Amino acid sequence: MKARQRRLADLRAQVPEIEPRDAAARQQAGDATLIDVREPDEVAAGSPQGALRLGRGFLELRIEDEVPDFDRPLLVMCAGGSRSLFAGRALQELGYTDVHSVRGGFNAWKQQALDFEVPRVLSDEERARYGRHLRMPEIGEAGQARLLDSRVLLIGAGGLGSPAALYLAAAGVGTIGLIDDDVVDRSNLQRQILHTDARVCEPKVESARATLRALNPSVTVETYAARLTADNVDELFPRYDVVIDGTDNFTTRYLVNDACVRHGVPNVHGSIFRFDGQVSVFDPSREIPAKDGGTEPAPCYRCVYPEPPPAELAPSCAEAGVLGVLPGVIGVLEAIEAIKLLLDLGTTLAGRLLVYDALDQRFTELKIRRDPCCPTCGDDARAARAAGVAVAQYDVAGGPLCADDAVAVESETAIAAASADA
Amino acid sequence: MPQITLRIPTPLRGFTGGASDVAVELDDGEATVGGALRALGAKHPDVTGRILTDDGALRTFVNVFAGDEAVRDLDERVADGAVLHIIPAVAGGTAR
Repeated sequence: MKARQRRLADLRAQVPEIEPRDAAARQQAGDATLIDVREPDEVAAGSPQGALRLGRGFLELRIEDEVPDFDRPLLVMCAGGSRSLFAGRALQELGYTDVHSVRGGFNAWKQQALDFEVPRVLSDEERARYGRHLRMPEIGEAGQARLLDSRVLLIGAGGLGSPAALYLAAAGVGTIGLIDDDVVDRSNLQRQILHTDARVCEPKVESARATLRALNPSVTVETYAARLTADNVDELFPRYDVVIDGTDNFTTRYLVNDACVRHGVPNVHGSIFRFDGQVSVFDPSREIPAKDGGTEPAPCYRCVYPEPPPAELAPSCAEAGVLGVLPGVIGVLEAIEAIKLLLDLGTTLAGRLLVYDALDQRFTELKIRRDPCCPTCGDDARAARAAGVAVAQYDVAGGPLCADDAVAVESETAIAAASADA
Repeated sequence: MPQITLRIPTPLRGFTGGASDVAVELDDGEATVGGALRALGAKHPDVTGRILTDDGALRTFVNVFAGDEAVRDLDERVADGAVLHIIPAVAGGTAR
């Protein structure tokens, strides 16, 4: 008898075995964790759904982050049922009290026609690039794969869009859309860090593409050298998971808000003025804590600001100036909210307005609530959308927007959008 | 007499002599959000029109928060030591 066989016989005496079909039943019932300890190239060909994929090499170092409860039953699986005995014994020695090895491993699993999936597996290059994410239990391989399959649209490649796009590209958000009709001006370079002095006069979206590709060549950058309008917004928004609003004018902000509500896409909002910034997530499809202790839908931008200010009361940044670093703070906060939305992590700013005062270096968190009479997401609009009826759209260019005196535009786009919703 | 602090955002500090916090003292009968805004206006007359309409209603692009909750009714009472945040809609993303 070879040493290997002797050792395996010893291990079998210490680590009880379980049939694949029994392991699958226990995993599905939720009373045990199935751990696939095979190498990434083996997992790439298929692995049970919901299995914790933790290669043998790092098993002892990472298991505690994934399974903090030492009494949690663990079902360890490899390809043929031998390596899982070694792994199972190692887990026992760490202190796990209820460890089984899946007899016959993944080969037997497949023979018993049990369910499995072919997971997205990171390449060696991706594994190196996103290593710091992979080590975090909240992201890990599954979260990184989700980011790589995600699509984020940035409205504006300017002060807010620059830091947001850079960090999202670095984080491995697979597809970044950029819409901006402007060209790079030297006065932009005080804060718009996507662009360079050598690219003054180039279209901003092309300059942005060059910067993002230099940072992370694997990111797909979709560019639209156009202004966002009522004519293109409904074609664009449904193609993305999250929209990041970094525009410079109210007309576009209301357009972004209404289209995000219409298509159920979360709207990550950032706005800045001199030393002040505001950040929030507008997403009425999400429930947030209500005043009475229950839950209620989160508000949209129009709930908080029913009307834009008249031009004479709203000087633009071009007129009023802005601290160049400020959009860095606010744009990065927007990027963080986008990542949280994409990975379903933590608590987003839905229902909260984060206000930043750079002069006093002070963040203030304020509660914002939905307006039941909001023409975009209020009770009537929700009922109409649920019934598949066209929800009136509103001209945001200047006219009053409150429910009483706003004029509904029952345009062809309104009807087309409603039928898409239905 | 209840003392209230109004926190002024930078877009409006030009109307408060640069002050970021303005403290006002209110008579008990005037201890409401509207009373605090009127007291602010008494100290800094030019700021009133940026927050309230000529009829004395809150402008639709400005929110006032008492603590962390938005004020819907200017007759809402405010307690001694309350902080009111004035938050206007801000367009900028500095694309241009």
